[in-house]
Amino acid sequence: MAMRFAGALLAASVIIGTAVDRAPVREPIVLGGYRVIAADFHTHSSTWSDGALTPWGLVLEAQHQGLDAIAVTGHRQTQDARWARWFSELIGGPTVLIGEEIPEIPHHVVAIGITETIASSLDIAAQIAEIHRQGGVAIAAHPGEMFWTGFAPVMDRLDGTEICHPAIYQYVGAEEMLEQFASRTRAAAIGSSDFHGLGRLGLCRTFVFARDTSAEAIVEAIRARRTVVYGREGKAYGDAELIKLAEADGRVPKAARPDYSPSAWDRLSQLLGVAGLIGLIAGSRWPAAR
Amino acid sequence: MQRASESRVWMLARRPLLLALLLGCGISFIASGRLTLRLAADGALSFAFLPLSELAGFAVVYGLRRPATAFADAADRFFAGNTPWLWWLLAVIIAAIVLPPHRHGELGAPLLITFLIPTVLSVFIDVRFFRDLVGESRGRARIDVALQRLVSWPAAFAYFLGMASSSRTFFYLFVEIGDEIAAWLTKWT
Repeated sequence: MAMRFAGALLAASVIIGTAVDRAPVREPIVLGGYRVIAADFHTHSSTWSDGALTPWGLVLEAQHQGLDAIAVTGHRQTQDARWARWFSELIGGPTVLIGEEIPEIPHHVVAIGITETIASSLDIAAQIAEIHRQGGVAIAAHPGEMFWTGFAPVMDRLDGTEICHPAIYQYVGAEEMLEQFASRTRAAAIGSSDFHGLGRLGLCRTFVFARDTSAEAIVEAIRARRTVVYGREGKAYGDAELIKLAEADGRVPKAARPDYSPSAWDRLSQLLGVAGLIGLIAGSRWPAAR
Repeated sequence: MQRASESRVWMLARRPLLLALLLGCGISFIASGRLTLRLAADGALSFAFLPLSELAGFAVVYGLRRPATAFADAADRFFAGNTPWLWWLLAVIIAAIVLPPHRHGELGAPLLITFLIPTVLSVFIDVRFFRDLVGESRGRARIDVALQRLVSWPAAFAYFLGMASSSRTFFYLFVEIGDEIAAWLTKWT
């Protein structure tokens, strides 16, 4: 009886949570003749890249977080990105770029817009040359101080650098480190969530000023450094002219700060869900084996 | 006859399913702040490798010891030893609900530290379980627990970390974990 009650609480929580779980309806933003794409270029799936959602789950979550594009960046593999792209094309979802995170010591490189897996056995200069040969762009992933020596030989060859990453909210001095690194490159400003499950997909995001919504146009825009990123307390990074355009319009800075405050329905769903789970765990003393 | 067989299947599946359910609900709450069918199902599927790898490890020990208890019943009792993990997961879920999303990263070090509590408790529970199951000595039961972990944990790690788990980067993970905990302790001291 107690288990049934707990199950009912959990079911009520799922029904409420699912009912209010709607992808936001957004008008496309066009500024300066460019389509402004909200993108997250550093995400991990549960298929072999220690993420919490499947590749297709990432696609659906990206829609719900108001993203127009994501790069699925598996560790040393691109298979999950291909699954995500296939699924997104099937449902008319966000643009999915084939990506990979190459986690080496002492540098992590995010490659996006590539066609094949980049061999991690290559040195960093050769990795970036291969990314460029495949038509992709190389982004310095969370370049904290420990990675600086690793990136030193290729500072002039990086296409992007993560200036907004969830680490800035977590570690004292992380924001300054990413800013210092970025100031030494000509790379495009990139905001990425490095989503593994905690936080939110698109918590840090990049606004790309692209000719259209295709993967090729997004990669071209990064290469041309047409990006704007908003960090802590709305601090803007990226192309100065585009920042002015975005500020004058107002919609981009607003889209950079998604409202995560839970509604009354969310609170009710949370309350019922937690109560249901407590009931299920406490009541799971099913008859012992004979 | 069919009823008995159905009840065996349920006996085998119910606790692994409870673990998968809790993991799915947890992913949904942590990733979106609400419990949705879409995220709970996706999270349960994503982490189904955990109960499966646990079951695989248990099956190896069961096959070696061949106790009188039927496999489904024995597995059911074995999975009851997950209770400390379930409470720990619930605590993680509640913490993630309470904290705003941009502060979720702060959970990393506390998770890594408190992870030890269910890890240790489940060893004690499982040693006792194997002693009761086969009537073996404490030393032999410890070997069984170690064997079960030796099968299930590497399998789970290999699936979860996948291509990233080259020997070099895998061991570097421990350096990163140490750094994470050190940074957290520095912040609080």
